[in-house]
Amino acid sequence: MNGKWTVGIGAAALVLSIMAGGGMAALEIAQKAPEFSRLAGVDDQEHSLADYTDADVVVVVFTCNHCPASQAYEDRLIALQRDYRAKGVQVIAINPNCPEKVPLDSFEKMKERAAGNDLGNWRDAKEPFNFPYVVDATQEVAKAYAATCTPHVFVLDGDRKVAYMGAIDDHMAPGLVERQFLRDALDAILEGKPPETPVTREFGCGIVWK
Amino acid sequence: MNASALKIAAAMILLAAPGCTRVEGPPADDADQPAQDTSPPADAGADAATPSDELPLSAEQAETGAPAEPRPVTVRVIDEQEFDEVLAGYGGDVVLVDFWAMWCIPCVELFPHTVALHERFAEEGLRVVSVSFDQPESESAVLDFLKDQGATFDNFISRYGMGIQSSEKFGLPGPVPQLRLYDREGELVHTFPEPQSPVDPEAVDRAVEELLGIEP
Repeated sequence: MNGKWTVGIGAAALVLSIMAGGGMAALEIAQKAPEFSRLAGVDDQEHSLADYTDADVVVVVFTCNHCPASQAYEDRLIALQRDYRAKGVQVIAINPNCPEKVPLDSFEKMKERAAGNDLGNWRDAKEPFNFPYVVDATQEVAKAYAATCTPHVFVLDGDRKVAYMGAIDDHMAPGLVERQFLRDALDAILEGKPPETPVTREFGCGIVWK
Repeated sequence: MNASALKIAAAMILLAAPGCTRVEGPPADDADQPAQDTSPPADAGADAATPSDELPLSAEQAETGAPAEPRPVTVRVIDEQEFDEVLAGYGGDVVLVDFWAMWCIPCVELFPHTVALHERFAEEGLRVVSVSFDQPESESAVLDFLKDQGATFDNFISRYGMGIQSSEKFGLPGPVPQLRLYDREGELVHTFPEPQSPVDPEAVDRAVEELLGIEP
């Protein structure tokens, strides 16, 4: 066993973990969340973070159409919104991907996915999204949140400070999930407590940057 | 194993079919594809212990001028400790590790570039390794993809599959694709991509050439 390799990988993991929140502009827990405004939604309305002042907690999830990881989580996001709506939780899904590079991530395709059409193999249900699905055409919102992949989740508390960021859970395959990061974080926040695990490693497809 | 996991396994197989690199067009929607056994990754330990049938062909061996037998493409399931040991066995070579997955379109698009680097620089002392974050149960589909690509280097599948544990155990902060480049002393000297940008294949080329001491 060559110690240098182990040390090298360990050091790399440490350094990269520090960068994991998204490199230079990484958000921090308890930091005020970046605003976003007038993002076009699949409902042909514009959506701003400030529109959701009634929500006790906002779940911002960067997701997209083409990525199997994103697709695999759509049913779980729909169920989460259904389960937590009455508790004051609002999910807002934001597609940051460049449609010129990935045509499947076009606005028209967003409408199809949100409507429950054209879903492919990665979803059981054909339910439409029960939350807004908006486009970050400039990618400025994804950059402001230092999002790296789809899906990548940021939970904003009542003061719109970041209370949790990272993954939805620990496995793409629903049957293999052991750790419910997002639901556990929401339960804690709704009880007025900080999440036990406020930052997890996001997992998915890298955002398709311009 | 529930129906969703089976469907995911089936879709992964579909992704391995020719044309899986195509980004345009709707996702495959043929639920009749046979799904492989999708037992949890923990059960894949027996597979993980199975050594590859083929020993790596060293650059030195490649230079002996013996009749060129194309090296067979292989893949095996591995954990992070075994991976460390594999890397430790490459002492003296520059090593490029490509972390990827068949469900990751940018990874699949980038993979031919990794294969090309191996073809160009193996004899100059570049070792190439791939680590897939697909489900271990999808090994045959991953192997088909690797054969199609001509990936005659050392290929592995994370025993943790397409879950966050793969990133955790192999120390990846963010998403795949991620390329890591180690110098001849085994030090990690480059990681691609830069934050908030795609992998720049030319930057990878330059870094490889620099470490190998090759004038571009």
